[in-house]
Amino acid sequence: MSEAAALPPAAGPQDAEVTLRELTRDNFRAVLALQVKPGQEKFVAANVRSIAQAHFIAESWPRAVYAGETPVGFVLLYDSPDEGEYYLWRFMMDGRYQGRGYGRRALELLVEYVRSRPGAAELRTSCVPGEGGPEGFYLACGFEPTGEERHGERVLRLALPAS
Amino acid sequence: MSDQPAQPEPPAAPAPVGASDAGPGPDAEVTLREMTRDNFEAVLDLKVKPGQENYVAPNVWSIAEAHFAPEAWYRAIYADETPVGFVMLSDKPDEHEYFLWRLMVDGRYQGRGYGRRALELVVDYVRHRPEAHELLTSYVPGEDGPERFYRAFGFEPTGEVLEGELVMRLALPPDDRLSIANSGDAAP
Repeated sequence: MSEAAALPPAAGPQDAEVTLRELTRDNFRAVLALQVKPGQEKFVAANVRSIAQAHFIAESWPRAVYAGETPVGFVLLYDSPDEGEYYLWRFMMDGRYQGRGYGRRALELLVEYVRSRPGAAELRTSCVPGEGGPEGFYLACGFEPTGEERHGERVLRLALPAS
Repeated sequence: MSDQPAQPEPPAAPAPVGASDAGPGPDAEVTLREMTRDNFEAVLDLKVKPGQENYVAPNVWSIAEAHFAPEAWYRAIYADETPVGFVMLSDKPDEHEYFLWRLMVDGRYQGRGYGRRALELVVDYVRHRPEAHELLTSYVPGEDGPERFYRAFGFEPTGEVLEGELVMRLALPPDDRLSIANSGDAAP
């Protein structure tokens, strides 16, 4: 990833393979410790809150984002084949690991998963508009504004054409 | 994305949490109820008094831990129809070990006897577990901490220290009453 080379040396893997892994008793504390950059907190809930919510919402599909063997982010999908609804509920990359293409790769893996689900014609998400927020990222990844609003957030959709 | 779940939540129970500092009175009936997708957000929002935060983890943290700990047994504490607190046991019948892991009453509702009553209900639950001879807990010592509460309830120091916390135990003498009341399993 070219942007990674431009970054100052930082702890952690550079050209590591990105994977989505289940959270377990052994790795969840490391994932709960991940944080976005200062100033980005208003764009995504803390992972501890996401996990607590996921505990009670049966449609939750949470995964840790790994780069190599390092947990670098977290994704939570609302995964409801019964409603035919697939909604990217939470997505965060730790501030130390942003700008390396991990988020984009993780989103590709997520889309791959959603594509395999019954009746998945689109992936939706929503975002808080604002400087430093994720909207530009989603648009660059192919999401389009729907014009809808939900809980004060802009709803975006990614069409998933049948392959 | 915000704290809002992707799906519109069913309307929360009309609990007066946050609506008023008055809330239920000292004569309210205290119950332990299962947490569900309909009531959990109200429980996650409960907070101890300012200054007590170092004595107990936030409920959101407890639930996240419970998600990965099959031994976690947790309930919302209600006073009448108002969620006022949270309790979590490490419930290990295979090892005959019962440990009060978290207990909190929201700052707005402390001093009304709800914590004590909730602990009685927890003890009643533990008594009916296999080989339950004692209930252990641990606390962070300090001003405005829970030590006096546990001592007044009958817990005694064991002298052990666990992860920097002082361990206490409540002996549970054999009791052959066939009480099934207040097992905490029935969510009204």
